[in-house]
Amino acid sequence: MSYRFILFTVLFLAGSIILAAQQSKKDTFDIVNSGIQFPHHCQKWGFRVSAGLSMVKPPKDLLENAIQAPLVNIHANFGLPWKFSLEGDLTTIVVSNQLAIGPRLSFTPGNFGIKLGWDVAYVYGQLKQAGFNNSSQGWLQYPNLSVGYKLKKMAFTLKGEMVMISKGSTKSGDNEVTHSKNFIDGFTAALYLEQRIHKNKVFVIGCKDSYVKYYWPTWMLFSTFNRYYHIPELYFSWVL
Amino acid sequence: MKILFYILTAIVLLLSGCNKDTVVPVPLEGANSIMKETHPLPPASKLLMEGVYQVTSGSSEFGETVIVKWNRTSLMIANNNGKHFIMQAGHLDSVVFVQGYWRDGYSDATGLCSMYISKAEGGTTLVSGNGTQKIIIRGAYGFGSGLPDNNLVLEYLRPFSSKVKNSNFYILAHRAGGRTSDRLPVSENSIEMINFTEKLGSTGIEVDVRLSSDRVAFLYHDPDINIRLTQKGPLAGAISEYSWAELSAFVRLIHGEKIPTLESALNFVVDSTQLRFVYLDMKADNDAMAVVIPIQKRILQRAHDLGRDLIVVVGIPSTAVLNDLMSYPDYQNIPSLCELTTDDVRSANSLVWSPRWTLGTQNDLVQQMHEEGRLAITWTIDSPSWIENYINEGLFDGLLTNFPYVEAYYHYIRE
Repeated sequence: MSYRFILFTVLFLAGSIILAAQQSKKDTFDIVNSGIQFPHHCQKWGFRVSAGLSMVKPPKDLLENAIQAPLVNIHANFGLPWKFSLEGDLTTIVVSNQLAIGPRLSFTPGNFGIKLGWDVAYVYGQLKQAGFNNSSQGWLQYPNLSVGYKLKKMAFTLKGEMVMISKGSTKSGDNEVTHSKNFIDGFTAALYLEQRIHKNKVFVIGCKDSYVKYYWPTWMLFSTFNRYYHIPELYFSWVL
Repeated sequence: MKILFYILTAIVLLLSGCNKDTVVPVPLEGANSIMKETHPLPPASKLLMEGVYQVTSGSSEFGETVIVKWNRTSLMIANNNGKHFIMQAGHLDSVVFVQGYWRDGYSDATGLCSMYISKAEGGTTLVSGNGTQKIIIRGAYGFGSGLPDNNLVLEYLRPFSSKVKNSNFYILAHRAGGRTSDRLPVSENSIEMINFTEKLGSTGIEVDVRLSSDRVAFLYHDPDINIRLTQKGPLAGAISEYSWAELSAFVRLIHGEKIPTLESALNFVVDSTQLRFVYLDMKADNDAMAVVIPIQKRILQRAHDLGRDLIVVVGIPSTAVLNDLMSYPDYQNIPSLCELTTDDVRSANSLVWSPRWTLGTQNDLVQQMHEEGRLAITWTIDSPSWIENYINEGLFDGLLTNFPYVEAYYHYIRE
């Protein structure tokens, strides 16, 4: 299934959802109580999870002809006292994985939502197929800011984050091939659309652009380039 | 609501097309360049100019030391982290003018460079071909297509060591000079790249060999026709399913060149370059040896007849290719490069053992290969620190790299 086919399928689905939403009858549903990306304070000790996929288009400089696969993502939101919450994110492409966790502080003036956060992530990857014996690991930090606007059954969220590599290394066998630490790798910007699909279930689609030098799922390819790349990502998930 | 949907759609589509394949702009000399008025330097002057130089102004950009080395067509100045200059030089009376451009191979940085050697700072010595003046190259460099306005001064430190001058080390360029992703002004695996590669410091090349459906051997890396390597055209899919006539007529490489046949590429190496080593990386798996070996033999005979010191080896990257070679009559007399074990090297009587670099320097095995009269060359090593490590700690006869100027720096600077 090609990247473009999935892209258009998702866009078609999103269009259908929006049109259906226009025709629906009034009810008591509020996207804040069922969504996950819109900046809001999750109910104290409350827990919400979404599962989804990210279709990523890595630059050809980094990935010449290797098979491309979607990233699988589990996102969780846990409510804390006051306006704080804790968010976690597990993203995997099997040979490379990232676990991120960090606090959030949210405000919801009117139909708007604002959320400040700082995630710390650990990345680990291993590739031992096709003659490779490569591994990678590292610590990253993602200070982030989200701003959202909600309608009754739909919410839009714009999220920006800085990507900081605290420590990263790649190895082939026992040889450390690359080693880097403490620098700003780049920035990301994402736009998420959350929409009620059925009863209280919410579907999320989003698009994200990572403007970075080093992209963690491709660390094991040992790129030596010192360049920034736009890495577009199409995200869709289901709030469980 | 529909408007919001359209906006989101537009953003997604916009992002999906963000990365354009860019080529690092190579600044050209200006219309008023003085180089047109200069006279070529004689060979003795070029030899006097070569050596290790200290960067006394401009070191923040180019480091403390650089090497200066002439090649077939130009003068290369290289530092330890990928910055290199491709320059022309000539003299007017006793002043030597040096002009060209610099590039950082690991990023997109580039710029013009204009320098000179005055009469009193080595010009007289260089132009006459003898003397004891200390050479100082003065001038400036710029960024992008801007005028060179940042000071750059290089002071001669020493000639290349006798160890370097007497060594037979091979600086091997991957895909004839570098990959598409290295953003060079010519396409990988093309005759134009073979013509360009010596400017980067290469003394040998690796090229990828495939067969067309009518069994013509040609240079191309990927199994399919794609926009990473070629301009958009009417053909798509597996490249080996097309005849040579179709490929020749309808496929153009990413910078517009035609795909070369193996024979035309090797003839160009013999007739028009000073390259000393060609590694034919066998990407074809359809009984290709029967096509490639006769071409290899013809080229080696031509090179011998012309007095060229040239090695052309067929690569053995897999057991399947090894079996293909060993089914060929007299296979033990065919110069080959084996990427497999040292036992496989002996079975095929390969001239070269070529392990993956990540397996380590393996000095004991390299020593064994040397004792058996074979060469050892490792692939494909791109990190400056590892290139330095392998040149200084390893016993290899050459390294395959996408950054030959980095390898050249660490080779020529050896004491």
